[in-house]
Amino acid sequence: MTTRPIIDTQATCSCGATTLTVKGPVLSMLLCACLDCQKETGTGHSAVALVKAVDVTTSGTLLAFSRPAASGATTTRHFCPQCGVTLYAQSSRAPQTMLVPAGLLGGDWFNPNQVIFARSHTEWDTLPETIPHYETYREGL
Amino acid sequence: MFASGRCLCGAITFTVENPPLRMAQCHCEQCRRSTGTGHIVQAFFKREDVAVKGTTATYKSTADSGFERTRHFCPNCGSRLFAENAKNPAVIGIAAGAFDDSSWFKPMVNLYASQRPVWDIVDPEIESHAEM
Repeated sequence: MTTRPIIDTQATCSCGATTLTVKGPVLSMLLCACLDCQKETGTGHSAVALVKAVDVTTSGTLLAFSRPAASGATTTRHFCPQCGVTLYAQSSRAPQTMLVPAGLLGGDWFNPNQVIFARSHTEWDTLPETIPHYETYREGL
Repeated sequence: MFASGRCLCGAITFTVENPPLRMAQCHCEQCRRSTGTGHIVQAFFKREDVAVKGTTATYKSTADSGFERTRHFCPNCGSRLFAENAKNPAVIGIAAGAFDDSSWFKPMVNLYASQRPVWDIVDPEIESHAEM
């Protein structure tokens, strides 16, 4: 499996009011076990693909919610106000990139190569053991 | 009180009086889309045991069973919170990640395992159903 797949995908939220299209290389794929990701997804970790912001277009009205992240940066999540599905997030550390949820995009190309913020991982959640788990945020994503 | 929780911004908080009836993970397309991950993680409680403060936003859809499902999320921060099903209005599902302390949680069953994405790892010891 390639480490930087090129994708051309359109995804919609649950109600169809908003869509996101990505055309370009996936820069990185990871799982995040920080407490904010756990709370926002309601699960044990988020699963995200990092792509270039210029490769993404969205349609429909999204709401934005910003919050200080565990990394020290500010994370802004963009979600559909009608059904609550998050289309993408951006970190102030890397405004040229966007984080898109793997559960939204689908595709067998998704292959996370690391876990970040493993320090807050919960016991009931299962993570792949074959990839590195970083206690916090790894520089140079 | 058995447990408490909140959304990311704190606009919605909740308490639960008694332990859950059931705890499950689900890989169906709607659960993957609404969480953005490989599966949803939920604990189900008696509705009467759950007290919610704040007003959630809701999204209604039809479940595969044919019954109406209502998903609750925070209108300010988008956090995934509750799910109700018209088939059994006395029960409410709460996302495991929403709890302040979820150390009591232990998934008992994996639903819609036939739709699990290849990249989503789950504990192979958990009972799995191809669908419901």
